[in-house]
Amino acid sequence: MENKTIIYLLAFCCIGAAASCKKDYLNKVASDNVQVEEVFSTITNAEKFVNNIYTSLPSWDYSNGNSYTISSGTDEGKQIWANGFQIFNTGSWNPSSFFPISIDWFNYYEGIRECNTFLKYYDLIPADPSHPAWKPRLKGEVFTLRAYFYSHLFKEWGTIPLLSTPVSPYGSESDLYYPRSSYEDVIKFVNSDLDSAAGALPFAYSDVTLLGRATKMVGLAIKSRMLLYYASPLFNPQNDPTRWQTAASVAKEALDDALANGYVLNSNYANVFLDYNNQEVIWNRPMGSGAIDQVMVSLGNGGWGNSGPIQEFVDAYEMAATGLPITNPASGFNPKRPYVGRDPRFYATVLYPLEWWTWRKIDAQGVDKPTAGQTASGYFWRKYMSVSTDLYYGRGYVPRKWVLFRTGELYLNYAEAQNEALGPDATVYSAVNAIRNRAGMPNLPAGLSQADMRSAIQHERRIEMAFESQRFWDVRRWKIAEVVDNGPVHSVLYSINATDTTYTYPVLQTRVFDASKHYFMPIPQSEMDKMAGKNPDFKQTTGW
Amino acid sequence: MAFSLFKLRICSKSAIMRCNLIVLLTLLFTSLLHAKDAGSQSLLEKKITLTVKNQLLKDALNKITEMDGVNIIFTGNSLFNTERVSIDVKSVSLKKVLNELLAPYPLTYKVVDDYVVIKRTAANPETNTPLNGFVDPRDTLKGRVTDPVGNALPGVSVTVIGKPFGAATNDVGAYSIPVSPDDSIRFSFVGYKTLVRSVRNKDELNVQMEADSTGLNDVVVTGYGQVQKSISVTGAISTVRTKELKQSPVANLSNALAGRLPGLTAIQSSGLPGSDAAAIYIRGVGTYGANKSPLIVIDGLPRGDANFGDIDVNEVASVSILKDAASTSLYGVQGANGVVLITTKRGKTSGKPNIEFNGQYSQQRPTRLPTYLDAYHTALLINEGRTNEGSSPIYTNQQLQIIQSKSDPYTYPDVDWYSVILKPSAPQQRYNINISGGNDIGTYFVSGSYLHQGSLLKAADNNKYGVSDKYDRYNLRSNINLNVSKMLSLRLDLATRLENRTGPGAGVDQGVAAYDWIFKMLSQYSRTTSPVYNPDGSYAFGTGMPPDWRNILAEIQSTGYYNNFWHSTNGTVEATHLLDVITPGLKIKGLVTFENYGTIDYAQSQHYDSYRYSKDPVTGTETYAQMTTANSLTKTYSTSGYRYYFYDVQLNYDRRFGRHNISGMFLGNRSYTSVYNDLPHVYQGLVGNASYNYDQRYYLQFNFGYNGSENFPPGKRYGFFPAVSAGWIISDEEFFKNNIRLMNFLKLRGSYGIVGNDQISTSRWLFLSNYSPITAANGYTFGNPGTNVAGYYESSVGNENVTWERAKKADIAIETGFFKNAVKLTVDYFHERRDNILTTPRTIPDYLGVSVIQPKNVGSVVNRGIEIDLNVNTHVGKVNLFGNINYSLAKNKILYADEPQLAYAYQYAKGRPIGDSLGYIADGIYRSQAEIDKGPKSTLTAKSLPGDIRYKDMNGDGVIDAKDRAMIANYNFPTQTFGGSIGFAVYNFDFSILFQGALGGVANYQGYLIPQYQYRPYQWNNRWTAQTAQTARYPSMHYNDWTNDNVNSTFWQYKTDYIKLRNFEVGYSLTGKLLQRVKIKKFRVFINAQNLVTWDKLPFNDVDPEINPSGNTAVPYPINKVYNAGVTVNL
Repeated sequence: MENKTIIYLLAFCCIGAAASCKKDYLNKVASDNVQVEEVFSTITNAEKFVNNIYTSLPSWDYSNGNSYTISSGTDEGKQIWANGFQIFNTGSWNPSSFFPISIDWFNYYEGIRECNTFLKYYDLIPADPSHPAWKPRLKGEVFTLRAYFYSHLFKEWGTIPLLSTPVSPYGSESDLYYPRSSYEDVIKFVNSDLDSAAGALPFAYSDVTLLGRATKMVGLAIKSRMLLYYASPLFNPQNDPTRWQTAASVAKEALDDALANGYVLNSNYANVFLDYNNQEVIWNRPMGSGAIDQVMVSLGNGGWGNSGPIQEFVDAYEMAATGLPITNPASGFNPKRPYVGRDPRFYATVLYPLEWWTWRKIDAQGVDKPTAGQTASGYFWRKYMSVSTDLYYGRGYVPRKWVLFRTGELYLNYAEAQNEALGPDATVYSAVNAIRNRAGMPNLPAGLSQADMRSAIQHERRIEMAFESQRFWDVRRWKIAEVVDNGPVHSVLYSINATDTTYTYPVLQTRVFDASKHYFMPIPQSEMDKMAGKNPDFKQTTGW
Repeated sequence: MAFSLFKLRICSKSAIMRCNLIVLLTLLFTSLLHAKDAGSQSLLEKKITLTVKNQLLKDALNKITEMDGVNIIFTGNSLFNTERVSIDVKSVSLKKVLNELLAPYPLTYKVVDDYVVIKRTAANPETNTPLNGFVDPRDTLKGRVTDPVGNALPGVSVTVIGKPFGAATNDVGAYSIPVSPDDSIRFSFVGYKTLVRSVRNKDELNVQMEADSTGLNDVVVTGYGQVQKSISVTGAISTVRTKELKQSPVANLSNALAGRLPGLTAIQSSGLPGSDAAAIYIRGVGTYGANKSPLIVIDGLPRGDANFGDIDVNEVASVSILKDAASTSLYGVQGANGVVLITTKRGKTSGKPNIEFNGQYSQQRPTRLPTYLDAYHTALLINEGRTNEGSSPIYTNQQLQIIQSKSDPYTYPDVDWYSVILKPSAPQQRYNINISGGNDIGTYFVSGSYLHQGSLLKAADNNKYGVSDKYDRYNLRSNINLNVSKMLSLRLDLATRLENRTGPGAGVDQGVAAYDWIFKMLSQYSRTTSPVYNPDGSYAFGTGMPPDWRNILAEIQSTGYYNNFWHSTNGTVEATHLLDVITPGLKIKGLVTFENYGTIDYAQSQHYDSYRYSKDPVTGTETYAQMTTANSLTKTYSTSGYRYYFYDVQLNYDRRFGRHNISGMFLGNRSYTSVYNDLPHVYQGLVGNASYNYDQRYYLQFNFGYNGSENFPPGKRYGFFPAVSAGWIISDEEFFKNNIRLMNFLKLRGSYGIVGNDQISTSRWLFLSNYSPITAANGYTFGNPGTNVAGYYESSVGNENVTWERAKKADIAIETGFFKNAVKLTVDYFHERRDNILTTPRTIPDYLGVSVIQPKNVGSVVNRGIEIDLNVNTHVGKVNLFGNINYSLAKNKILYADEPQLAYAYQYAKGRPIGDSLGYIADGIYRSQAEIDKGPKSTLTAKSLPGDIRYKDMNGDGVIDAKDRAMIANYNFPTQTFGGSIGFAVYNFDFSILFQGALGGVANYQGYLIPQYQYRPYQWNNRWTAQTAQTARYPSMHYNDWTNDNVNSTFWQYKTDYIKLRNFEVGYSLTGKLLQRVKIKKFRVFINAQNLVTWDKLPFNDVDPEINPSGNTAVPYPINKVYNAGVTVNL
């Protein structure tokens, strides 16, 4: 009897011990926590993951959330608020303080991490047999997005760490620290991503629900812009001509492919930025329908009038009839009526004093004047502005998309690269003239020197792609920022009497650009502090 | 075979026969080994080889034991220690050897089971008792002997006084001995007080032996219900027992611990009925991680509902704290912050039931309440603040006059809200009845308690809802032990706790607990704002500036009520079976326990009518503007529930081989806690212990916990937490015994080990990446027309390397006893290094792209200190004197906290104690405008005024800004705590007193001292004014802009060092024939008190230094003094 009890007890003990060995006792069971398997176990969920990566794409407002536009950081405009891009005007930015550009560092790397996460789990995603192209398409999109984010970082910082996996922040320290890779390595990395994407993506989507997703065309556009940067003086101080040649041939390929696939110049310049869909746009970012109006529209129309074009920018528009700059006495410019007869793109880009907007005339010295302490140029944005928007009543909002790439840029990329590689040949002329003619401007005069052509192309780029977040970086890669972003900039004042309106141009701001360090962005100081003593390979940008 | 029984011959006239410890332990083994008795007689035939030359008889006998495995038991006869023998035999029967050895002496032997017992030859010619026979066995007395915890005591010597009979208890503590009806029986056992009981015709006599408090053989309860004699303990454990705990008339047991235990810090921060528990820390804090609190273990097991303070003190036998790695490693991954171990009472085998009744009645009074200036002085300060800031005064002189004369209390009120709302004291009552007893079949302890704590709110019993604000608690417990058979015993414990908390409906619409809301209003409501009632008797309403827009009285009287019910029930079944069949000394235990607990919260709340009264100063027209409107009661309710299971299977081994004592324990366990709103929490693990001692002089112990926590990723869940410890009882060495007289006990012990803490974060599953869905409405837009699409994003990146905090703990101690243990001194030194502290990393590069960086196990903290425990227990004539002084020091320092390179070295947390935060270093106040003009410019305010606090310009840039903040103390946690108690008992009186103190805490009283709503006398007396410019200690008054002064700075820091007269007690026990006639064993009346006096260094005497004010403007429910009278009756 006794022994039996013991045997039972022992048996119980063994069962207990065996049960204890059951390893999964501590395993977490399914719950409302969403695990990686759930996201990548169906292709619809995986697509949702990709969808969200697109939210890292830039828009008109800096980093898609700050009501600042980078055009006010360069010779396009000026912000009336005393924050945001103002410090870039006054030169008082430094590694500890260069908001809002400083947040690009994290924002693009956050997008890159999401891309890397997707690629890591790509093999988990089941293919859809009835849509065999679906799964590879997602991968192509992600490669393109990653390439785009890196190209942005390249543009801003030049040399950057290249991460191709979602690095765990919890691993050993040696896994966390990267050096800044050379331009060559970045180019190689981005090109390789784009080549991987190219096979999986079409030039354009026939399915209208897919519009806005990355295409093969987007990849080519990224490549074209990036190689142009790589060949430019800032990145190419030795002026290695092969870089220009590569940039030219890629730009040509991109332009040819664009034209062959229906990405042609829109006959109406203004509509490129207003039509929700038009054939010129290669890639864009939907930007909703009211926010840009709120920030940019003048006070008299219920907006904040935040970023006003400066006089220097207005002055850059040529006369439509002659194609000559207003400084040329032969241009036909009348200082008494400065807004008459200018390049038609002026009227699609800038709202100037006494111009009609919606139901009223812009009155920069009256109701459109900003509150005390804020200084405005007297001009307002017109590009992207929808005339139907009524901020007072909250109606008439029209959804628009921010242009990331369009065919117009490809013409100019090609023209610039070709001019640098081989000089102003006929293809250069025809590319620039295609842009000018579409806008209603005459051809460039024949017989321009390579240098004259360079100036003409730079001018054309400034006018054509005004406010498209290009100029701030263009003046850097051309290394002209020390000229154009240095010194006084002006606003406009006017007085009206019975017969005449007189315009004066007081100094709005004196800008400071330090050529010894302002061309590339500094690494945020907080980031440098994190690596102090741990990652000696990671160096601050030269000059900072 | 029932139990071992043999007789001991009384060897001298002296009443007490001293057995040495070895004999007793051997007896214990005798019992353990009794199952196998075949061949016991052949023991004497066993062949022995022995060579001894002129050695002591005892050594010769020991040699037989050691060499030939024959267990010989011999009593403490002097012959063994004085007589020298020689023998040289080879392979001779034991019988022959013994005969030869013992022949010259009056000694004889007898075989009992596997043992040979040697005793003195019968020397009493009058009784002439044959050794092997019973004399006149008219009756046999049976019974059971247990220790204070109720565990069986094997090996207790049971003798009949004046008769040559002896017996020892067997392994379940039972004995049987032949007696005559008027005999007296003596029970003796080393380490316990000798008991004498008369037989009086009983045939059963169960006794519970009390630990001999002068001895070092107190029983210490260690992890998983193991019981150890304190002499053999090699870890750092401190224990406080019922007697001391009961001296504190506190509702929550945790408040009875302050000053009682070296190494324990108890901080009470509120006196709210039902929520006044003290926070308990062991050896200070060793981590800045999420959980700094010790593991709570009740009767050996971690519990789900760990509110040990709400157990009734009458159910508790002892509270121990396990401090070092050796004692906590059994709890492995949960043990790093130490363990608080509560042991509940069990019945004693006393035969007769013991019925005890306790009744107590107390009054609780706040130790301190904030004091505020009256309306007139408040108005003066308001005006002064306005003037200082350059704006016009708020009150005209005429208005000031009215306020001062209190002639218009409705327009210019002066309400002392504290006296309107609070009464001077609140009652507390508690009653307990418990019945315990037992016999050799089993023991029982059944207890029922009721506690009632009243509230300080005046309106607590006076509202229209007919409910009174209070806290009621009911505790029930039944602890039962059953000896099912001689091999199998059972333990069955059931306990339950019901709590009801009732309070006003205030705060419901604020989403704040009622009392928090009331006390927030009380400490923030300015006296000048609003009367209590309007002239027409309606509730008045404040000015509309928060928090003055409510009527506090109405909030208590007319907002409804809440009833919160807490219930907790647990039950344990444990079976122990001896496995002597496998090998002697082995047993197996199985245990299953469950616990159900949760809340039922219910409230009815409503608004009340209130009006703002105004009177036109010219026309005298009165208007009443209705500000709030009564509505009907609305109910809200919620419930929560938890269920906890734990089971383990345990193998125990305990055996002696000669002088080698070996014991071991191996246990597998598992727990599972169902939670009403989350996935269950689970644990499992293995626990082991191996102890060895040689001759009870040299101790060596190895403990380990190997356990897993679901908080960590698969493959990384289990940790091995080993600890080694050793002890050396130097005083048992010959060289010591022979040379040192004053010191009778000296022990060295030390331990080193590793323990873990898995409660490192408030969130679970840190190792899992979490993905969050984005709804289509918030998603990205594709297509033409644009359509938003849903998304997913990685909302947290799992830390796949997350692991427990790891504490490496070393402890070294010396334990001493002087003057026969009348004075005992123990000193511990400890050193702990905590690594892997979960720390939000600040050196993770942004380019990894992780948006929400989960914390990482990278922090390190070192914590060091000493503990001194001095005990005195002696008697001077008839006066029994006892005293204790204990002192603890624990200082911590952050060694690493993953900080980036900081521009200013004074901002590093590294090298600073836990709890520091960035703040300004105050450098006095600006005495004049000239000083402002000279000093660094403060960017904290638009305009510095004379009398503003001047801060140190740490970086010397001439500007005071965030860069000038340095790490400053901001954590009201003492580095030193001490307690001193003294007591005496003379005749039937007993008296005891306890002082307790804490040093080294620093708190920031910024929120309390900067007038935001109320103005304090301290400000009136010490503020800067033009007249006191040179002597003022306190900044000048502001009205709108306090921004320069209202920042974390050293200016508001005060040391919270204090000494409290924690407790005193006077008792009188009635004795005499009257009591016996009414069959009352004991009747004791007593008065005692808690928190009587507080001495501290705060310059204002209206805040209790224990309360942590850190930036709060709200002063919590006050801590109470308790005056208590009670009675204890034992039937």
